[in-house]
Amino acid sequence: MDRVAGPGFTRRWRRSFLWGLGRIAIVLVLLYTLIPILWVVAISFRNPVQTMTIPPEILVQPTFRHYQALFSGVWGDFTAYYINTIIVCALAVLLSLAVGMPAAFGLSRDMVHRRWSTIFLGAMTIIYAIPPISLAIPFYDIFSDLGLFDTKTGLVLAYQSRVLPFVVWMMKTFFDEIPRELDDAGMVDGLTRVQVARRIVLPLSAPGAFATAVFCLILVWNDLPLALVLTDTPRAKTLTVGIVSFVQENVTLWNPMSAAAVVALVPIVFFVLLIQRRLVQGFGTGLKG
Amino acid sequence: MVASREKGSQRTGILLLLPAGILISALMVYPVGHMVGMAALQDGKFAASRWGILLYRDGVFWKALWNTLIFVVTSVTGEMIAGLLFALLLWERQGALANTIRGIILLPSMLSPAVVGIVWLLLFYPFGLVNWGATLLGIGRLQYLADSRLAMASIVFVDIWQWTPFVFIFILAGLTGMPVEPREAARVDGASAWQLFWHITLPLLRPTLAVALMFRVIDAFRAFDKILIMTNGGPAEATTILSIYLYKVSFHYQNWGYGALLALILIAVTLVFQWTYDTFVIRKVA
Repeated sequence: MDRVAGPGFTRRWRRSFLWGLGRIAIVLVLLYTLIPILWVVAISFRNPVQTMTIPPEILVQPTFRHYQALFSGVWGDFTAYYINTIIVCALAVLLSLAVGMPAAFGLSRDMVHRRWSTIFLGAMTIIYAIPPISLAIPFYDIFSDLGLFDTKTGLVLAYQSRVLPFVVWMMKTFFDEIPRELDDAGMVDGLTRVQVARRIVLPLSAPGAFATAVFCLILVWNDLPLALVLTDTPRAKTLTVGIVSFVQENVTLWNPMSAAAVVALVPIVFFVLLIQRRLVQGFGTGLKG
Repeated sequence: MVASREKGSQRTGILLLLPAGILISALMVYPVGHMVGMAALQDGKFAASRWGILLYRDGVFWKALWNTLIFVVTSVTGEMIAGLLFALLLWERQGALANTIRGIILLPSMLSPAVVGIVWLLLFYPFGLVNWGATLLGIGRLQYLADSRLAMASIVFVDIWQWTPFVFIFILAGLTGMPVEPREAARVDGASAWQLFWHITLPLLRPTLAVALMFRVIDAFRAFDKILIMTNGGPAEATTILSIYLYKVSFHYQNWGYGALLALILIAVTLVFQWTYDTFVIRKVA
């Protein structure tokens, strides 16, 4: 009754109150997310003395010397780690796409017996669930025997255990979205299955393949356990491993430590911007996996 | 004609799957088999004594198992609740600004756990921002990572900070794909916002929540990098979870057989969870 009689004054007030509350909450969430990251960026440009002041100074004259020191090799060959990371990421992603996409296509078009596809997808699910640090133990043993320990090749192979299941799932869902009528039309025109895949399905799923590649890139870029166990020297050591050794040896050198962290996170920010629009979709893909 | 083409298609299909199949066998079947050998054998004989050590004499193992369960349950619970709240907050907001906000909120989940470890090492250190904020609130300076009563809580908090955005984006995808009609109908019938959420939105969201939970639990079992950097399992094993313990046993103490046994136990725990959850929850809900 009240609702009809008091024409919306309280209701309108209540709604604008809730609206404002929502805005405040969003700002708080943003601060909660951003302050830790910005703090590390800030520390990487400061001198140690300015890091210790309480309350923290907001504006200080920035210094670049921690970055210079980091790449001059005082605490390990970070230049080599960086290059290694880029090479390993690129090769691991290319290999997983080259191997995973044909498999995803075959599975999407039911080209093998049901029994095989069940086994195949089951194995993908299991390997994805295995914690990498557990898998690193036999890898270490096997790779040492094969001469793959502390090599980029070994690392690229080891990473397939992380990214291949991902590529197969994600690409299968993208292929599934492309209507089979297109395949049939192509085959009526005399194309083979593989030609259909190359000329019709692949171009249509290119955006999906791109998003998959970036996701895998992030996965490999961010990994620690496998690289930590399977590398030892600047020959193959990656950025995250370099960071861990740094922290374990110089736990109080906050400023160069944050410089190392910033150097590792900048490309990620770039990757996220690249696929920002597809992020929701990318995570949603997991739903069907 | 059709049959022969079917057969040809089968053959092509096998060829398409073969490289991935070989790689998976080389990366899973063989290493896991090798690991079973490492764990079960010692100098060519069955190493039964390892199980005795594990079950009766290794207190750290039981502590690590308990810590793992505590870590997984508390951090995933926190992430699910916070992720749901974030998603409800940003749901139904569109435009470039909303997109940017979403991208920013997502950042922690995209960062390397090693980088996140450094971020929070810096925030938690005695002169860090957290302690500064705490003194402002009158709590006083605390040793968040060095105090054995606080270390696990701090680690859980950092894990929640990093992975809430993952749950958030997952739920957001679920909310966006949800049919509008039931909510419209209920709104016309005069349902309150809370009733809408509790009786319409939440039940429709159940499959999404169930899958997000599974992804998070599987991932929480493998947490490693952040803990290695922030506490290295300490103080006094307060944050030693299975992954950290098996790493130390293998690579610091060089006890390969025992490390492999611990690694197999971690795999078993994860897979048993995955299978049980998939059979009894996902199949029912999704």
